[in-house]
Order: sequence, then C-alpha cells, then structure tokens
Amino acid sequence: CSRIHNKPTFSQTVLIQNLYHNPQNSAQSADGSHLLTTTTVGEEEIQEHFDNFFEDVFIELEDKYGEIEEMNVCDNLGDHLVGNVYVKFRREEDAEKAVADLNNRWFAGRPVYAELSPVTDFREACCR
Amino acid sequence: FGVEKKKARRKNISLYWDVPPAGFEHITPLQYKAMQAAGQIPATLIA
Repeated sequence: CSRIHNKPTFSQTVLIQNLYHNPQNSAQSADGSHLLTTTTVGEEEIQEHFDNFFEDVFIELEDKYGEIEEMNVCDNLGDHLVGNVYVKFRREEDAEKAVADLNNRWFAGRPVYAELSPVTDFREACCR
Repeated sequence: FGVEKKKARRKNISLYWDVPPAGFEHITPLQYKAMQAAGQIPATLIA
C-alpha cells in the first residue's frame, strides 16, 4: 500500500500479509511456483480451497495463541492487500504473542509476515 | 462445552503451516527474511 500506515504498539488485531493465495491468482504466477496441474479452476474448487485455508489458519491460530473474535481474509485478485489476513483476538496479549511467534514460522513454503494492525472494526476499515 | 470445543480441533496435519521453501529447511524464517533484506535471496513474490 502506498499510504502511510502507523503500526500500533498494542492492538487486538494482527495482520498477516499475503498469506492467502487464491488459486486463480496463483495459476497466473509468472515464475510458475504455484502453477496448478489443472488449467481451469472451477468455482467450487476455489471455494473449497478457501474453506480449507480458512479452517486451517483459524484452528491453528486459536489453538496456539488464544481466542479469536473475528478473522477476515482479503480474497481479491488485484495487487492491493492481496491475500492479507486480519485476525482480531479477544486479548491484546494474545495478538502480541501471535505476531512474535508467527514471524518465525513458515506457511506454504514462505515466511510469515505478521504485524499488529490498528483495525478493530472491519466495516470501517480503509487505507488512510 | 469442553467436548464441543474439542470437536473443532485439528484432525489432521496442516497442509500449509511450517512448510519451509525447498532448499531452506535448515534456516529459520527470521534468518530467511534477514537474507532477503540483505539482498542475498529475492523478496517473496506476491501471488
């Protein structure tokens, strides 16, 4: 994002950048690293892929770090915010713990980029 | 309600979590990112 984002010191919300890879996006990837074996990806498969991803991430985060109030995945096909996952924990301590630990973990063959996010109400969220 | 909570827990191993990039199994994600920052390996490709 080209906007200036102030990263808060305390927040319940964790942003994990570019965690979700939409199969439609991956199929177009220039380096071929996420190329799928099928050439066309059906809508059902995409939904299933997304559901699996969501469940996998949600369960892992709640199990390891604490109770989650809300989790949102940016499932857009553009560059902006692509694949970003926003996780709002019930407690700030859990969010802090999650960021510290996630930054030293792998996800799907890539390092995880996690940080605290000022967003608390997702309906009000926009880049400032 | 303890039983209900248990049900939602992971039944099988994750497809995604803790899967390192091929060839980088021996380093930590933090080291990997430091190498990216130093320009030793390319930055993670978006999508």
